[in-house]
Amino acid sequence: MSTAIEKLRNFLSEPVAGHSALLFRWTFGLVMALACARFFYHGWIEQFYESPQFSFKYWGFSWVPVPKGAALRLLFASMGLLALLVAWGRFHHLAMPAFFLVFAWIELLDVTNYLNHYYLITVLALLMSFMPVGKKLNQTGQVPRWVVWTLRGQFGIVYFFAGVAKLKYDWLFLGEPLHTWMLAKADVLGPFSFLAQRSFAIAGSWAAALFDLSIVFFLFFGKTRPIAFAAVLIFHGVTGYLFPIGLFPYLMVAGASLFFAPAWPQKYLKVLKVLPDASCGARKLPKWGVYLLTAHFTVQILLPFRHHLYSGPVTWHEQGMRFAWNVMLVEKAGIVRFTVKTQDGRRLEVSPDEFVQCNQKKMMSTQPDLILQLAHHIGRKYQREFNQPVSVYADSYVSRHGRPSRRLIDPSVDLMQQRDSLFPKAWVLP
Amino acid sequence: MNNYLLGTVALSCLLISCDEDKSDVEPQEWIEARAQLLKDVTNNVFLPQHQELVSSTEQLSRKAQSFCADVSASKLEEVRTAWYAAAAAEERVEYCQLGPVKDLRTIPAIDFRPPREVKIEEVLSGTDPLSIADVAKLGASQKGLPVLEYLLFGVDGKAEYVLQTFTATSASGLRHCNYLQGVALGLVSESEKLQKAWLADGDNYQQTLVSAGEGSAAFMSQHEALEDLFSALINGLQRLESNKLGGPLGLKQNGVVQPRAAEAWRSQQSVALLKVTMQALQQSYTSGMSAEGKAGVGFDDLIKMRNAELATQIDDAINRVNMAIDAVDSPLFETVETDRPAVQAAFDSSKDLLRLFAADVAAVLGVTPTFGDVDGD
Repeated sequence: MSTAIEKLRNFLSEPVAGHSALLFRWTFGLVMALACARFFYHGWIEQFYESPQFSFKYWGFSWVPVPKGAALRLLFASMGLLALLVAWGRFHHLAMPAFFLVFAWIELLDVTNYLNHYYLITVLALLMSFMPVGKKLNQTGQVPRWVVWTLRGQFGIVYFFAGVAKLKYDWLFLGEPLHTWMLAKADVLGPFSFLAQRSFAIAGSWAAALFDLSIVFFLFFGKTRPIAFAAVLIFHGVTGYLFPIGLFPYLMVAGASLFFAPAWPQKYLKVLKVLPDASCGARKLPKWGVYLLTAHFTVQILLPFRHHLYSGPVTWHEQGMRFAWNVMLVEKAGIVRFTVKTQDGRRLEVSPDEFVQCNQKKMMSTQPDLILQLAHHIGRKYQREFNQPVSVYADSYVSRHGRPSRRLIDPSVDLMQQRDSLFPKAWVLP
Repeated sequence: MNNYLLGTVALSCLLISCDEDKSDVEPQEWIEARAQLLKDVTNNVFLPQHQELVSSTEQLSRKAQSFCADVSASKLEEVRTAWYAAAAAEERVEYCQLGPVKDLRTIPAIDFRPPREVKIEEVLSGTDPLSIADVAKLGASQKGLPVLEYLLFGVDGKAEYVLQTFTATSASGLRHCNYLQGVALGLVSESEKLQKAWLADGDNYQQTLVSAGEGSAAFMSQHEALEDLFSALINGLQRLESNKLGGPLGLKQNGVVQPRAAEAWRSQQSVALLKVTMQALQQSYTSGMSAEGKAGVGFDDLIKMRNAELATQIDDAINRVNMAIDAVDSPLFETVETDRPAVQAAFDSSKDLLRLFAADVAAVLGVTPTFGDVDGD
């Protein structure tokens, strides 16, 4: 066992050209700086973080403070500056962990802003915080192999599990939600509007699933790599054109480039010269580093499977949905109303609009843990107002992939008596 | 690779034959239907509604002038009738708030609710001279249809009392008249401003909507326009359910019935305005009828193309709301106390309809009733 670990340790510690890793860090920093600028430009800071009077918290992270006003803007501005610093490459060992902390903080502010690629960015920033990639692009040196392989592994997991997540009846046999989305975009497809037919949506769904499942293997081997990379460009180009997925395609294309030989950028960017880095070879990956990487990838592999611990389709009950690369997988619409009952017999119908913004309402209406959080918030408000315990019930309907809407939450369950946890939620109806 | 792709397509085509419950739509038909919907809802619903608002407020202004020139019971009745018409026209415009009506903040300007009686009385009891022109400088809570309702119907709607306030020989009578005429003129001005924003010689919002996806200034695609339109339709339905019915039922206020939360309770027009709201909903949903009597292409037609059963369910649900509202006796502020179940039934049926729109229709059309815009995954 210890010999195997030692062999793995030696393999991962071997120096390789640092071009691709440094180019990735540079791209990552610039893309994130651009992402930050978009938040300012589109007014998303105010819309998604400043305006809401109530923030939905991640389980176990309700302690995260939610800054407002100037402090919030400062947080975003510091994220942008840190991203630029990351791209520049100076003070990497400070800039990257600081970027990770700031980005993670922003992500933890409100669950309704959760996006898979924000999660990916958080994980990448954490991983890169430990990586010796803090050099300028024109001073490229060597990096230990684990740097490149860890990044490849992370992107490989994203692709592969996004593919696994697509192996569902609706995706493969009904072409949903792709058909509905393509139909919505039919007019912008111009002469290709025929692609919005269900048959093409089903074909596209299969192609997307096969792409996600296999692209890492094709990127891995030299012979298939150029075609695979072209497929990456086409796939992310098309999805980026059709859907509002922001900077995700750029990030994934940058990630796919890591599968080329580590020195590949040198061919195209003459300014990049390999500088032998004596310290690189001397810095062997510590044993705890091997353990940490193993633990990281074990968690990454297990997380997407955790939804099997809960009965029913994950796209319905959403237990185990996040952090599992369920990327562009579901189209749901829902509505929820709360009924507050007091001990002295009063009954109130409460609309979420009194507490949450449009975008929050959209996400909350279809996600049981968020419905529970809002129910508790509403309950606490009325407990204070009436100075007595209250019960809160949810009248919640959700339609998934165009099916007739059904109740999501058991309307007879007092949500004030329920606590969020990782255990199955018995009050979520199948 | 080619064989691989062909195989995938062939397999998919085979699989689609197993598809038992999903109707298919030809994309070109879908595009054409959406384009026609945007045209029809603009021409059959929005433009006539805005024209009606201008005409009715102009009429109201004329009747207010004529009433002040000859304060009498018959003239009061005329100005009240004009107020009913203007309130109904406003209700129609208010139902589906899209584009200019939101940008110009027209509804708060012409229908600020609930009316602030203290603020209105401040104006009436003021000692500074108040000309008709001065009224324009007042704040939103001191203008609009609810203020006119306050002036024209008083607390209990008794004409004698109202006439007294306008016939007083002191400066008070003149002040009431100037206030009435000034507010009515303000309504005309706001209505004209709103209408102009839709017309070609103004901001031409009709073109913005109709040309969605084809060079529109606001909508990059038809779908974006459809989403905004659908959100407006749902928001209107939600106001009916939560405010107009849920408000008087006290469902938002400690569970205690709130008779005076009924819209237009002074004029006893609450039930009539509920019916107007439902008409506005149906018009926005079906895109109404053209001047030639041709039915427009509406959301109902789009839904039929993808799920005919759902379209029938919605028609039935709309009928249930209409019947429930018909069963509510006027005035609402009394009925909510004397026959609460009838009002509750109207609320429940509107809630069912809202559920169908917000969950089922949204999912079928792939529209989300929000204005959010952020990176998706």
